[in-house]
Amino acid sequence: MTIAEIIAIWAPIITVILALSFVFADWPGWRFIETLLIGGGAGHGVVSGLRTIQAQIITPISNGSYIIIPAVIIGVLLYFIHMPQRYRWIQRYGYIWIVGTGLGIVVSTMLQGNILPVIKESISIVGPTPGDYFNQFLSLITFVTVLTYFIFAMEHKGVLGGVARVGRNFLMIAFGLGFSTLLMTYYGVLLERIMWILRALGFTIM
Amino acid sequence: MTFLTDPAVRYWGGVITSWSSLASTTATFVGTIVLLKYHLPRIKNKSEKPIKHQWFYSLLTMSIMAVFVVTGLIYGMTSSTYQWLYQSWYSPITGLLNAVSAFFAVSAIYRAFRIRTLESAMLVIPALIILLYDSPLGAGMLSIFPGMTQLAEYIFTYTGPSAFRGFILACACGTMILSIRTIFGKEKGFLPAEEASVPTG
Amino acid sequence: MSEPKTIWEKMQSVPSVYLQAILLLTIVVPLLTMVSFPSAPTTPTKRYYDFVMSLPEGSVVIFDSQMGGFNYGDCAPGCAATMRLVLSAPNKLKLIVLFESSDGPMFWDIMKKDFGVGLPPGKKYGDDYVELLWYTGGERGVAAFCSNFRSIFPEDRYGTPADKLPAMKNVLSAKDFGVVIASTSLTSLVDDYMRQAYARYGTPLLFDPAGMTVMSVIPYYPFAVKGYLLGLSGGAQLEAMLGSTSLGTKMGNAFSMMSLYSFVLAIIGIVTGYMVKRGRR
Repeated sequence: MTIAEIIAIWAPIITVILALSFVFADWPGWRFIETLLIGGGAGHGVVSGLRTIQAQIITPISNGSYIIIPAVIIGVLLYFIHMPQRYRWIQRYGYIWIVGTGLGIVVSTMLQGNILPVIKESISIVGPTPGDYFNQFLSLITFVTVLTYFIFAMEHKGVLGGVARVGRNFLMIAFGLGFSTLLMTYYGVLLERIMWILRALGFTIM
Repeated sequence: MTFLTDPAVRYWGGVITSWSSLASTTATFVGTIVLLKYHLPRIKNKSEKPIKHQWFYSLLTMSIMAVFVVTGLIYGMTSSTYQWLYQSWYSPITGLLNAVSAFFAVSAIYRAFRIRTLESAMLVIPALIILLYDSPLGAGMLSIFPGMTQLAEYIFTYTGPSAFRGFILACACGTMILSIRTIFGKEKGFLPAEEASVPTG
Repeated sequence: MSEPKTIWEKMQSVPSVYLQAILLLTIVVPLLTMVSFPSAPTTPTKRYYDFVMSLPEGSVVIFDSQMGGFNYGDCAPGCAATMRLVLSAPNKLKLIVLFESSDGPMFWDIMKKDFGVGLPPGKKYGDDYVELLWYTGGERGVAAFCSNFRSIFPEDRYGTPADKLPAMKNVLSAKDFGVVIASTSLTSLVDDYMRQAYARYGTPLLFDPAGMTVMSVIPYYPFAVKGYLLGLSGGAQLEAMLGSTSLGTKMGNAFSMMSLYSFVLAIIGIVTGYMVKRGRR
């Protein structure tokens, strides 16, 4: 086995062990992992940024697509944040463009993309049986009571307060659902890492 | 764009939308420059702040960054050399901090899950039911108890989504109002502090 | 702090390292042994499968992968199973994979290697399957490629111009997408596609969300979102539906043990907490 092959096998194992060591102590081995994470991420970001610029900007412009030149100018304006104070105001125009287009894109589609689908899902019946009608009616009750909880313009007293309290309990059920699915994500990531360690150490996954 | 059918409007709408994304592509290195501005002075001045031997860690960070950049530029991102560098040194540690959270979650489940009020019961009991329902073995075990599988499916199909729909609708309405106020200049939270304090006309 | 006296107090003060060690065992044992649990697909998984199978022949499937180190374990089984499903579907679908970030292609390669996924016999890169680069700008990027696909993806990941890839021949905007499938742990990406693809163009959506993102997907199911895979277990279920038992199924087995352990731990924690509190009164 050559030295390169030995490094290729042991490098990932050593990095993982050093990374896990942070649970026990903050020591130079963990600091090395931190620098690897930041430096590696930054380096990969530079390489991938150059690749994207080459693919999306340089190649199209060299093929005659000059209409994207204003986009390049707007992007370059954003670099002025790093210039001396007297020139920093220039980046404002690039930033405002980004914010403005983002707002336009979101606002123009929020009604059809978020609000109406959610209302449609709440009032549509998903099946033909009386049970489906009943379930959907209960769902509508849940939907309305949760919405009532978010009415902050009036104090939650009397009928409104009672309905909002019911909505809060439904929200608790939903957050319980959210917690268990969040746990799934953590478990999935841990599971994959342990599996990777086992395979790196030579075990066969049955 | 969706409401206006004039071809010229649709065309320029599409062009402006693509400019927005391509401007982000061009501005990719703004963050990299921040990193360089942070670490390079510390290397130059052999700084011991904010931690001891900071200059050495900054030097290490910049060196690792240089290794990735040089390798990527010489061999290309799809080459086996760059793939080895990424997969051996970087990708094993990217998800590890998230993975360690699972250990802390286990401790939290054992020590923090308590049912003291109605609200906490409404949080904990569905969480436990769905925890079983999500996995093959757990779903099989739930089916032993009459009605539990149906309850889990009901929470997942009706109660949970309906509550989140209310949540989404409230957030969507708030976002729309905030966006419209920003467009009209009434909200200045996105501006830097010194500009946000200037009163509008 | 005084020494724990009753059995309940002793149980409550068990050091966390023992709990974590048992968690490790629940992962390692199913992976290294033949322990296996049958996986029955849930309704959203079945709808996910049925929708892909019911697409018109030759439809283009856009797969947006947001896989990275922090969600690989949760999303990778679904990505692998979906790639198998689309490329082996009898309706001759074309799969175009794009990425939300620059880590995406690297982890996609890792996923293909780990799960042994590749082009089936008879399928060719460029004709039936294309890997693109990533888009920038989040929702602005999604809006841009939904309105003009070539402006954001003029070439594929390997530098081949889009004009030379038959799979991308008639893909100019979201109107040409048969379906968009997004594998993500970002809540915002769900909303991005709801607004930019579904609202503007009526493009049907499928999702392979990580566990924590499923809360953003289920409110739109089943009308806007036709089906979804619930994280790791959803990927294992789809794998079972396809008749293959690769890494996804094995991960599902280990995940079952972890979930059961967490459930038992929670019950013990609740009971001991109650008994300690009762003892103190």
